[in-house]
Amino acid sequence: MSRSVTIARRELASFFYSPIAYVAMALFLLLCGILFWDDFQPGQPVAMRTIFEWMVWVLVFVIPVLCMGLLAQEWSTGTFETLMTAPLSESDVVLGKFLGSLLFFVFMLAPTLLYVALLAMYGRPDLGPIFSGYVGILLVGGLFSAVGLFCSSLTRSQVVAAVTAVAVLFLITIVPWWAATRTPLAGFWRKVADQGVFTRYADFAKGIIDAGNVVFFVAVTGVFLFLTVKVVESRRWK
Amino acid sequence: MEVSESQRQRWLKYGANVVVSSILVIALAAVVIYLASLRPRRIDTTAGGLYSLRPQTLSVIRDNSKPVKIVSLHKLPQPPRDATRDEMRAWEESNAEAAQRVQVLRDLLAEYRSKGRNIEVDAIDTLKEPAKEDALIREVEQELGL
Repeated sequence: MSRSVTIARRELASFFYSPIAYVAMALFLLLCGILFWDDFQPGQPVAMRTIFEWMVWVLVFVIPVLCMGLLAQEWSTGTFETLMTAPLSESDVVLGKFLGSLLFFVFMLAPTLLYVALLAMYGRPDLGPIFSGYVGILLVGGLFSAVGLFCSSLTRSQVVAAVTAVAVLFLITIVPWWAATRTPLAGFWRKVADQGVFTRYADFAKGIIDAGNVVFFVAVTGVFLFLTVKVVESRRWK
Repeated sequence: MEVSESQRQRWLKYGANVVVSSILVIALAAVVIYLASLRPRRIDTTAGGLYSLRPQTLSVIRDNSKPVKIVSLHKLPQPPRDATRDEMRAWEESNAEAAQRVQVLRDLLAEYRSKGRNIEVDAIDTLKEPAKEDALIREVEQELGL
Protein backbone atom coordinates (compact mmCIF):
# COMPACT_ATOMS: atom_id res chain seq x y z
CA MET A 1 0.00 0.00 0.00
CA SER A 2 2.81 2.43 0.87
CA ARG A 3 4.27 1.83 -2.61
CA SER A 4 0.92 2.75 -4.13
CA VAL A 5 0.86 5.91 -2.01
CA THR A 6 4.31 6.84 -3.36
CA ILE A 7 3.09 6.38 -6.94
CA ALA A 8 -0.09 8.34 -6.10
CA ARG A 9 1.98 11.23 -4.77
CA ARG A 10 4.15 11.23 -7.90
CA GLU A 11 1.06 11.10 -10.12
CA LEU A 12 -0.66 13.90 -8.22
CA ALA A 13 2.42 16.10 -8.56
CA SER A 14 2.60 15.36 -12.30
CA PHE A 15 -1.00 16.56 -12.71
CA PHE A 16 0.06 19.96 -11.38
CA TYR A 17 2.78 20.17 -14.06
CA SER A 18 0.37 19.25 -16.85
CA PRO A 19 -1.34 22.06 -18.80
CA ILE A 20 -4.06 19.62 -19.90
CA ALA A 21 -5.03 18.99 -16.26
CA TYR A 22 -5.33 22.74 -15.66
CA VAL A 23 -7.44 23.17 -18.81
CA ALA A 24 -9.74 20.30 -17.75
CA MET A 25 -10.01 21.72 -14.23
CA ALA A 26 -10.76 25.24 -15.52
CA LEU A 27 -13.37 23.90 -17.94
CA PHE A 28 -15.05 21.89 -15.16
CA LEU A 29 -15.16 24.84 -12.77
CA LEU A 30 -16.30 27.25 -15.48
CA LEU A 31 -19.19 25.02 -16.55
CA CYS A 32 -20.17 24.31 -12.93
CA GLY A 33 -19.97 28.05 -12.16
CA ILE A 34 -22.27 28.93 -15.07
CA LEU A 35 -24.76 26.22 -14.06
CA PHE A 36 -24.67 27.32 -10.42
CA TRP A 37 -25.14 30.97 -11.37
CA ASP A 38 -28.13 30.04 -13.51
CA ASP A 39 -29.67 28.23 -10.53
CA PHE A 40 -28.67 30.81 -7.91
CA GLN A 41 -31.71 33.06 -8.41
CA PRO A 42 -34.51 34.40 -6.22
CA GLY A 43 -37.35 31.91 -5.82
CA GLN A 44 -35.20 28.88 -6.59
CA PRO A 45 -34.68 26.20 -3.91
CA VAL A 46 -31.63 26.73 -1.67
CA ALA A 47 -30.10 23.45 -2.79
CA MET A 48 -27.39 22.00 -5.00
CA ARG A 49 -29.34 19.14 -6.52
CA THR A 50 -29.37 20.58 -10.06
CA ILE A 51 -25.66 21.39 -10.02
CA PHE A 52 -24.83 17.90 -8.69
CA GLU A 53 -26.82 16.30 -11.50
CA TRP A 54 -25.12 18.46 -14.13
CA MET A 55 -21.69 17.68 -12.66
CA VAL A 56 -22.03 14.03 -13.72
CA TRP A 57 -22.62 15.10 -17.34
CA VAL A 58 -19.62 17.41 -17.28
CA LEU A 59 -17.43 14.69 -15.73
CA VAL A 60 -18.27 12.27 -18.57
CA PHE A 61 -16.08 14.51 -20.74
CA VAL A 62 -13.61 15.97 -18.22
CA ILE A 63 -12.34 12.83 -16.42
CA PRO A 64 -11.32 10.98 -19.64
CA VAL A 65 -9.17 14.00 -20.52
CA LEU A 66 -7.56 13.94 -17.08
CA CYS A 67 -6.90 10.19 -17.17
CA MET A 68 -5.97 9.71 -20.83
CA GLY A 69 -2.22 9.97 -20.20
CA LEU A 70 -2.01 7.87 -17.02
CA LEU A 71 -0.76 4.71 -18.75
CA ALA A 72 -0.91 5.58 -22.47
CA GLN A 73 1.88 8.11 -21.97
CA GLU A 74 4.01 5.53 -20.15
CA TRP A 75 3.58 3.12 -23.07
CA SER A 76 4.32 5.70 -25.76
CA THR A 77 7.42 7.13 -24.07
CA GLY A 78 8.66 3.74 -22.89
CA THR A 79 8.91 4.83 -19.25
CA PHE A 80 6.78 1.94 -18.00
CA GLU A 81 9.66 -0.53 -18.37
CA THR A 82 11.83 1.80 -16.26
CA LEU A 83 9.05 2.06 -13.68
CA MET A 84 8.81 -1.73 -13.48
CA THR A 85 12.49 -2.05 -12.64
CA ALA A 86 11.54 -0.64 -9.21
CA PRO A 87 10.27 -3.16 -6.61
CA LEU A 88 6.64 -2.63 -7.59
CA SER A 89 3.88 -4.93 -8.73
CA GLU A 90 1.42 -4.06 -11.50
CA SER A 91 -1.31 -3.68 -8.86
CA ASP A 92 0.81 -1.12 -6.97
CA VAL A 93 1.21 0.94 -10.14
CA VAL A 94 -2.48 0.77 -11.11
CA LEU A 95 -3.70 1.52 -7.57
CA GLY A 96 -1.20 4.37 -7.22
CA LYS A 97 -2.25 5.96 -10.49
CA PHE A 98 -5.91 5.56 -9.59
CA LEU A 99 -5.41 7.19 -6.17
CA GLY A 100 -3.40 10.01 -7.76
CA SER A 101 -6.16 10.81 -10.25
CA LEU A 102 -8.83 10.54 -7.53
CA LEU A 103 -6.89 12.97 -5.32
CA PHE A 104 -6.62 15.42 -8.21
CA PHE A 105 -10.36 15.08 -8.70
CA VAL A 106 -10.85 16.01 -5.02
CA PHE A 107 -8.67 19.11 -5.59
CA MET A 108 -10.78 19.93 -8.63
CA LEU A 109 -13.99 19.55 -6.66
CA ALA A 110 -12.84 21.53 -3.59
CA PRO A 111 -13.56 25.03 -5.04
CA THR A 112 -17.23 24.05 -5.47
CA LEU A 113 -17.54 24.22 -1.66
CA LEU A 114 -17.72 27.96 -2.29
CA TYR A 115 -21.25 27.36 -3.63
CA VAL A 116 -22.24 25.92 -0.24
CA ALA A 117 -20.84 29.02 1.46
CA LEU A 118 -22.80 31.27 -0.95
CA LEU A 119 -26.01 29.34 -0.32
CA ALA A 120 -25.44 29.62 3.45
CA MET A 121 -24.88 33.39 3.14
CA TYR A 122 -28.14 34.02 1.27
CA GLY A 123 -30.40 31.28 2.64
CA ARG A 124 -30.65 28.28 4.90
CA PRO A 125 -29.62 25.26 2.83
CA ASP A 126 -30.41 21.72 3.97
CA LEU A 127 -26.87 20.40 4.49
CA GLY A 128 -27.87 16.70 4.44
CA PRO A 129 -28.51 16.48 0.68
CA ILE A 130 -25.38 18.57 0.03
CA PHE A 131 -23.31 16.07 2.01
CA SER A 132 -24.88 13.08 0.24
CA GLY A 133 -24.38 14.81 -3.12
CA TYR A 134 -20.65 15.17 -2.43
CA VAL A 135 -20.42 11.52 -1.27
CA GLY A 136 -22.07 10.50 -4.54
CA ILE A 137 -19.94 12.71 -6.76
CA LEU A 138 -16.78 11.28 -5.14
CA LEU A 139 -18.00 7.76 -5.91
CA VAL A 140 -18.81 8.82 -9.49
CA GLY A 141 -15.35 10.41 -9.78
CA GLY A 142 -13.76 7.16 -8.57
CA LEU A 143 -15.69 5.07 -11.07
CA PHE A 144 -15.01 7.44 -13.97
CA SER A 145 -11.28 7.56 -13.06
CA ALA A 146 -11.14 3.75 -13.05
CA VAL A 147 -12.78 3.67 -16.50
CA GLY A 148 -10.36 6.36 -17.75
CA LEU A 149 -7.38 4.44 -16.38
CA PHE A 150 -8.59 1.20 -17.99
CA CYS A 151 -9.01 2.87 -21.39
CA SER A 152 -5.57 4.48 -20.99
CA SER A 153 -4.05 1.03 -20.42
CA LEU A 154 -5.38 -0.25 -23.74
CA THR A 155 -3.51 2.06 -26.10
CA ARG A 156 -0.39 4.14 -26.66
CA SER A 157 -2.43 7.06 -28.00
CA GLN A 158 -3.82 9.48 -25.43
CA VAL A 159 -6.48 10.74 -27.84
CA VAL A 160 -7.72 7.21 -28.51
CA ALA A 161 -7.76 6.57 -24.74
CA ALA A 162 -9.84 9.71 -24.09
CA VAL A 163 -12.32 9.00 -26.90
CA THR A 164 -12.73 5.37 -25.79
CA ALA A 165 -13.31 6.44 -22.18
CA VAL A 166 -15.92 9.04 -23.21
CA ALA A 167 -17.67 6.36 -25.29
CA VAL A 168 -17.70 3.87 -22.39
CA LEU A 169 -18.91 6.50 -19.91
CA PHE A 170 -21.57 7.63 -22.38
CA LEU A 171 -22.74 4.03 -22.67
CA ILE A 172 -22.97 3.38 -18.92
CA THR A 173 -24.18 6.83 -17.84
CA ILE A 174 -26.21 8.66 -20.46
CA VAL A 175 -27.67 5.87 -22.66
CA PRO A 176 -29.54 4.06 -19.80
CA TRP A 177 -30.89 7.38 -18.49
CA TRP A 178 -31.98 8.43 -21.98
CA ALA A 179 -33.66 5.07 -22.62
CA ALA A 180 -35.56 5.23 -19.31
CA THR A 181 -36.82 8.77 -19.82
CA ARG A 182 -37.67 8.60 -23.54
CA THR A 183 -39.41 5.26 -23.71
CA PRO A 184 -41.71 3.54 -21.22
CA LEU A 185 -39.70 0.56 -19.98
CA ALA A 186 -41.00 -2.24 -17.83
CA GLY A 187 -39.77 -5.45 -16.24
CA PHE A 188 -36.31 -6.62 -17.23
CA TRP A 189 -35.38 -3.59 -19.36
CA ARG A 190 -36.44 -1.21 -16.59
CA LYS A 191 -34.06 -3.06 -14.24
CA VAL A 192 -31.25 -2.83 -16.82
CA ALA A 193 -31.85 0.93 -17.22
CA ASP A 194 -31.82 1.32 -13.42
CA GLN A 195 -28.21 0.07 -13.40
CA GLY A 196 -27.04 3.20 -15.25
CA VAL A 197 -24.59 5.45 -13.42
CA PHE A 198 -26.83 8.51 -13.61
CA THR A 199 -29.88 6.66 -12.26
CA ARG A 200 -27.77 5.23 -9.41
CA TYR A 201 -26.33 8.67 -8.68
CA ALA A 202 -29.69 10.51 -8.72
CA ASP A 203 -30.52 9.25 -5.21
CA PHE A 204 -27.35 10.84 -3.78
CA ALA A 205 -28.19 14.16 -5.47
CA LYS A 206 -31.62 14.32 -3.88
CA GLY A 207 -30.33 13.40 -0.39
CA ILE A 208 -30.52 9.63 -0.08
CA ILE A 209 -27.51 7.46 0.68
CA ASP A 210 -28.48 3.96 -0.41
CA ALA A 211 -26.10 1.16 0.61
CA GLY A 212 -26.94 -0.63 -2.66
CA ASN A 213 -25.77 2.36 -4.68
CA VAL A 214 -22.55 2.65 -2.64
CA VAL A 215 -21.86 -1.06 -3.23
CA PHE A 216 -22.58 -0.60 -6.96
CA PHE A 217 -20.02 2.22 -7.36
CA VAL A 218 -17.34 0.47 -5.28
CA ALA A 219 -17.85 -2.88 -7.07
CA VAL A 220 -17.81 -1.46 -10.61
CA THR A 221 -14.75 0.66 -9.77
CA GLY A 222 -13.06 -2.48 -8.44
CA VAL A 223 -13.89 -4.40 -11.64
CA PHE A 224 -12.34 -1.72 -13.87
CA LEU A 225 -9.21 -1.55 -11.68
CA PHE A 226 -8.90 -5.35 -11.83
CA LEU A 227 -9.25 -5.30 -15.62
CA THR A 228 -6.58 -2.59 -15.81
CA VAL A 229 -4.17 -4.72 -13.74
CA LYS A 230 -4.79 -7.64 -16.13
CA VAL A 231 -4.12 -5.46 -19.19
CA VAL A 232 -0.89 -4.16 -17.65
CA GLU A 233 0.20 -7.70 -16.72
CA SER A 234 -0.50 -8.88 -20.26
CA ARG A 235 2.31 -6.62 -21.54
CA ARG A 236 4.73 -9.11 -19.99
CA TRP A 237 3.60 -12.23 -21.80
CA LYS A 238 2.39 -10.77 -25.09
CA MET B 1 15.84 -31.16 -22.17
CA GLU B 2 13.44 -28.25 -21.53
CA VAL B 3 11.39 -27.06 -24.48
CA SER B 4 10.55 -23.35 -24.44
CA GLU B 5 6.92 -22.24 -24.83
CA SER B 6 5.86 -21.03 -28.24
CA GLN B 7 4.16 -17.64 -28.59
CA ARG B 8 0.86 -19.40 -29.31
CA GLN B 9 1.13 -21.54 -26.16
CA ARG B 10 1.88 -18.48 -24.06
CA TRP B 11 -1.15 -16.67 -25.48
CA LEU B 12 -3.39 -19.64 -24.76
CA LYS B 13 -2.06 -20.17 -21.24
CA TYR B 14 -2.02 -16.57 -20.00
CA GLY B 15 -4.91 -15.34 -22.18
CA ALA B 16 -7.24 -18.05 -20.88
CA ASN B 17 -6.19 -17.19 -17.33
CA VAL B 18 -7.03 -13.49 -17.89
CA VAL B 19 -10.38 -14.25 -19.53
CA VAL B 20 -11.48 -16.70 -16.81
CA SER B 21 -10.38 -14.50 -13.89
CA SER B 22 -12.03 -11.42 -15.48
CA ILE B 23 -15.32 -13.27 -15.97
CA LEU B 24 -15.18 -14.48 -12.36
CA VAL B 25 -14.54 -10.98 -10.99
CA ILE B 26 -17.34 -9.47 -13.08
CA ALA B 27 -19.74 -12.23 -11.96
CA LEU B 28 -18.72 -11.73 -8.33
CA ALA B 29 -19.34 -7.98 -8.59
CA ALA B 30 -22.77 -8.62 -10.16
CA VAL B 31 -23.69 -11.01 -7.32
CA VAL B 32 -22.54 -8.51 -4.66
CA ILE B 33 -24.58 -5.70 -6.30
CA TYR B 34 -27.62 -7.98 -6.54
CA LEU B 35 -27.33 -9.08 -2.88
CA ALA B 36 -27.00 -5.45 -1.77
CA SER B 37 -30.21 -4.59 -3.63
CA LEU B 38 -32.17 -7.35 -1.88
CA ARG B 39 -32.07 -5.64 1.51
CA PRO B 40 -32.12 -1.92 0.79
CA ARG B 41 -30.59 0.26 3.50
CA ARG B 42 -31.32 3.89 2.80
CA ILE B 43 -30.38 6.97 4.81
CA ASP B 44 -32.59 9.97 4.16
CA THR B 45 -30.32 12.95 4.84
CA THR B 46 -32.99 15.62 4.27
CA ALA B 47 -33.87 17.62 7.39
CA GLY B 48 -37.61 17.06 6.95
CA GLY B 49 -37.31 13.37 6.08
CA LEU B 50 -38.80 14.11 2.63
CA TYR B 51 -38.16 10.62 1.29
CA SER B 52 -38.96 8.57 4.38
CA LEU B 53 -42.19 6.61 4.07
CA ARG B 54 -44.23 5.76 7.16
CA PRO B 55 -43.97 2.15 8.41
CA GLN B 56 -47.68 1.63 7.64
CA THR B 57 -47.17 2.75 4.03
CA LEU B 58 -44.11 0.55 3.73
CA SER B 59 -45.94 -2.53 4.96
CA VAL B 60 -48.82 -1.89 2.49
CA ILE B 61 -46.33 -1.55 -0.37
CA ARG B 62 -44.34 -4.62 0.62
CA ASP B 63 -47.36 -6.85 1.24
CA ASN B 64 -48.94 -5.92 -2.07
CA SER B 65 -48.84 -8.93 -4.40
CA LYS B 66 -50.79 -7.57 -7.40
CA PRO B 67 -49.35 -5.19 -9.98
CA VAL B 68 -50.30 -1.61 -9.16
CA LYS B 69 -49.82 1.50 -11.27
CA ILE B 70 -49.81 4.88 -9.53
CA VAL B 71 -50.16 7.85 -11.85
CA SER B 72 -49.96 11.47 -10.81
CA LEU B 73 -51.67 14.02 -13.06
CA HIS B 74 -50.62 17.63 -12.70
CA LYS B 75 -50.70 20.87 -14.65
CA LEU B 76 -47.47 22.79 -14.54
CA PRO B 77 -47.77 26.20 -16.30
CA GLN B 78 -45.82 26.22 -19.55
CA PRO B 79 -43.14 28.87 -20.19
CA PRO B 80 -44.28 31.76 -22.40
CA ARG B 81 -43.33 31.46 -26.07
CA ASP B 82 -40.75 33.89 -27.49
CA ALA B 83 -40.10 35.26 -23.99
CA THR B 84 -37.09 37.47 -23.35
CA ARG B 85 -34.49 36.37 -20.84
CA ASP B 86 -35.93 38.69 -18.17
CA GLU B 87 -39.50 37.51 -18.83
CA MET B 88 -38.32 33.91 -18.64
CA ARG B 89 -36.57 34.64 -15.34
CA ALA B 90 -39.73 36.23 -13.91
CA TRP B 91 -41.81 33.27 -15.08
CA GLU B 92 -39.39 30.80 -13.47
CA GLU B 93 -39.49 32.80 -10.24
CA SER B 94 -43.28 32.83 -10.07
CA ASN B 95 -43.56 29.11 -10.84
CA ALA B 96 -40.62 27.88 -8.78
CA GLU B 97 -42.81 26.70 -5.91
CA ALA B 98 -45.14 24.70 -8.17
CA ALA B 99 -42.15 23.12 -9.96
CA GLN B 100 -40.63 22.24 -6.60
CA ARG B 101 -43.87 20.57 -5.49
CA VAL B 102 -44.01 18.48 -8.67
CA GLN B 103 -40.38 17.48 -8.14
CA VAL B 104 -41.11 16.31 -4.57
CA LEU B 105 -44.10 14.36 -5.87
CA ARG B 106 -42.02 12.65 -8.59
CA ASP B 107 -39.35 11.78 -6.01
CA LEU B 108 -41.94 10.34 -3.67
CA LEU B 109 -43.39 8.20 -6.46
CA ALA B 110 -39.89 6.98 -7.23
CA GLU B 111 -39.59 5.95 -3.55
CA TYR B 112 -42.83 3.93 -3.85
CA ARG B 113 -41.41 2.17 -6.91
CA SER B 114 -38.09 1.43 -5.23
CA LYS B 115 -39.80 -0.07 -2.17
CA GLY B 116 -42.39 -2.26 -3.88
CA ARG B 117 -41.79 -5.00 -6.44
CA ASN B 118 -45.16 -4.75 -8.19
CA ILE B 119 -45.45 -1.00 -8.32
CA GLU B 120 -45.21 1.02 -11.49
CA VAL B 121 -45.35 4.81 -11.24
CA ASP B 122 -45.68 7.70 -13.64
CA ALA B 123 -46.16 11.46 -13.39
CA ILE B 124 -47.94 13.11 -16.30
CA ASP B 125 -47.96 16.82 -16.99
CA THR B 126 -51.33 17.11 -18.71
CA LEU B 127 -50.45 20.39 -20.45
CA LYS B 128 -47.11 19.15 -21.73
CA GLU B 129 -48.03 15.53 -22.45
CA PRO B 130 -51.68 15.41 -23.63
CA ALA B 131 -51.05 12.23 -25.67
CA LYS B 132 -49.85 10.42 -22.57
CA GLU B 133 -52.95 11.54 -20.68
CA ASP B 134 -55.21 10.26 -23.51
CA ALA B 135 -53.38 6.92 -23.50
CA LEU B 136 -53.91 6.65 -19.74
CA ILE B 137 -57.66 7.40 -20.09
CA ARG B 138 -57.95 4.72 -22.80
CA GLU B 139 -56.06 2.26 -20.57
CA VAL B 140 -58.38 2.94 -17.61
CA GLU B 141 -61.47 2.66 -19.81
CA GLN B 142 -60.27 -0.69 -21.14
CA GLU B 143 -59.48 -1.89 -17.62
CA LEU B 144 -62.97 -0.98 -16.40
CA GLY B 145 -64.67 -2.22 -19.56
CA LEU B 146 -66.23 1.16 -20.40
